[in-house]
Amino acid sequence: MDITFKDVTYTYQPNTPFEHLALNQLNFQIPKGSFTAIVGHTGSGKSTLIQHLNGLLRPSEGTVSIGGFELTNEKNKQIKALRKKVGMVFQYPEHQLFEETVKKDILFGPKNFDVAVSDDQLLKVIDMVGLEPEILERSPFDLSGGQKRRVAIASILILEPELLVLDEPTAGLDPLGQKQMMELFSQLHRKQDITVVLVTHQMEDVLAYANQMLVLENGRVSLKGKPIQVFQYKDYLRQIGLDIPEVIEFLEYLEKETGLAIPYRGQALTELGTSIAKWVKDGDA
Amino acid sequence: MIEFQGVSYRYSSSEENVLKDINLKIAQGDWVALLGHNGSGKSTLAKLMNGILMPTKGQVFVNGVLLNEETVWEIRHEVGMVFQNPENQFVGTTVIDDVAFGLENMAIPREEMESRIDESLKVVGMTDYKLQEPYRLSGGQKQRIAIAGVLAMMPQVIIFDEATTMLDPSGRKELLETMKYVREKRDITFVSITHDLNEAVWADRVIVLEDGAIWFEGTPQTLLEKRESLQSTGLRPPFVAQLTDELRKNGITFEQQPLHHKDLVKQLWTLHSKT
Repeated sequence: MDITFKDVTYTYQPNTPFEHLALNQLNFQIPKGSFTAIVGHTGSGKSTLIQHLNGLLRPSEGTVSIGGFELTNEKNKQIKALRKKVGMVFQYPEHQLFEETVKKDILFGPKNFDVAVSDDQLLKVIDMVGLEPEILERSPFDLSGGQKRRVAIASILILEPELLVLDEPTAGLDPLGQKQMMELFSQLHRKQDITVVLVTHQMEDVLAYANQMLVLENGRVSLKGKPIQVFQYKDYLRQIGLDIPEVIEFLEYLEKETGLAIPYRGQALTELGTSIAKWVKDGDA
Repeated sequence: MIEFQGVSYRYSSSEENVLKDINLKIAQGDWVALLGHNGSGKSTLAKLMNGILMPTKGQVFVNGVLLNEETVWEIRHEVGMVFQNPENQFVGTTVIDDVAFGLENMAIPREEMESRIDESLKVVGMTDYKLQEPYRLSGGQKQRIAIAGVLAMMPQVIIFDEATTMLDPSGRKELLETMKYVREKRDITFVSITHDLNEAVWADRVIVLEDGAIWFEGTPQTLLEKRESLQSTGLRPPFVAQLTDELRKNGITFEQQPLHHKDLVKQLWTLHSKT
């Protein structure tokens, strides 16, 4: 689903002393089939932005277009149809599990949208998130944290969304769980051609998985591009309270201490190892 | 300081022991990092250290005192805990009230309370936030206040139960810096439970749990040297260890396993200067 924000402004509690401008004349595009990361420190407008992607919030001014849907300040009757196509994975989605069994939990969404789900589809989605079929009859509350999160994600994937919006999907998982989760989204993106919007603080994930990156600051897009290009603006990113991927940070420190400058162009660690080793032995990289 | 003798633990809902015959000693003033993936038993182990849980089998000693129903309250004064979720551990309406909470429960005289609160906020670098409302603080700041609250009680041990897990990377760095600083200033035993090896490299000693048993015990250096088998425990070797591997493949020999950026660059510079 192509996403276009045109002059989108969002104001919380307008005309009150608590009035707060969260999005300020926002303009950007996310092409269908892309994997876009949105970064920004707390309060930069990220959460407000993603709540526009399935109509949880309506723009105070401007237009949001998603696929064939248009969202403005006016009430939109097609909102339910949009929500069926946009899967939202909020932070700690496992907190939203509530049914007696995993199966019932996964089928709750389809029930709301009057969608029939075959057993085959159910098994497919369980397999997709890396769980075993036996889990369907268990109570979601007896599962480990990582399993719960997979169930919560399965309950979103069962509706076969065209756009998947992920808000800090790996928060609180251990490193292996984080990696598996990101691999899962990356696979969905590649194989099922789902458009992915990822909100995250994990810059390593942005570098590894996203093909486009938006930096939000004060409700506006302050930088946009391929992650590797955006991360060139190290000083600016730090100044607005964001992290730099560790590999870039290391190369910067190495240059500062030793004078050895290796520009980062997305080299694998193997290649970096070779360059640095050459410098250690021969005196130049 | 803390000693486990043949400790096993089983949750009543389960048939399997989550901890199996654990023996370990943590000395006064040590910083021990307890590592393992989700479900390895590390949080259970921490909860046994101050009697939130009692062993199914075996014994736990704190300062030589056997932990049981009678000694648990006394022992909790010695063993403070900082929990995972920064949102869940606030009771006061201002930072200062919050830090005071534990002291009020201990009936500490007002003057002493004030000096302890000031001291504690100073160590975690939050003096300027004294009168702030906690909900306005960032995650990292909230955890620093939680540490101040524990410090004010003057325990001998602080357990950090995945205190950095829910923070964003900058919050995590901020908290780690605070922890290092507190260690410099106070002679306190630290037990930090984590799955972040970048945090564990700052500890004196590392214990890795796997499937309820101790899989590794030793210095962070030795652990990183085992990095290939490390993957099997669900932990990810830090960037520095991965790059060190690549450098070794290219014929670089390190005097000792580098732990962090500064350490690695320093060793590389020395090697470079010798050629």
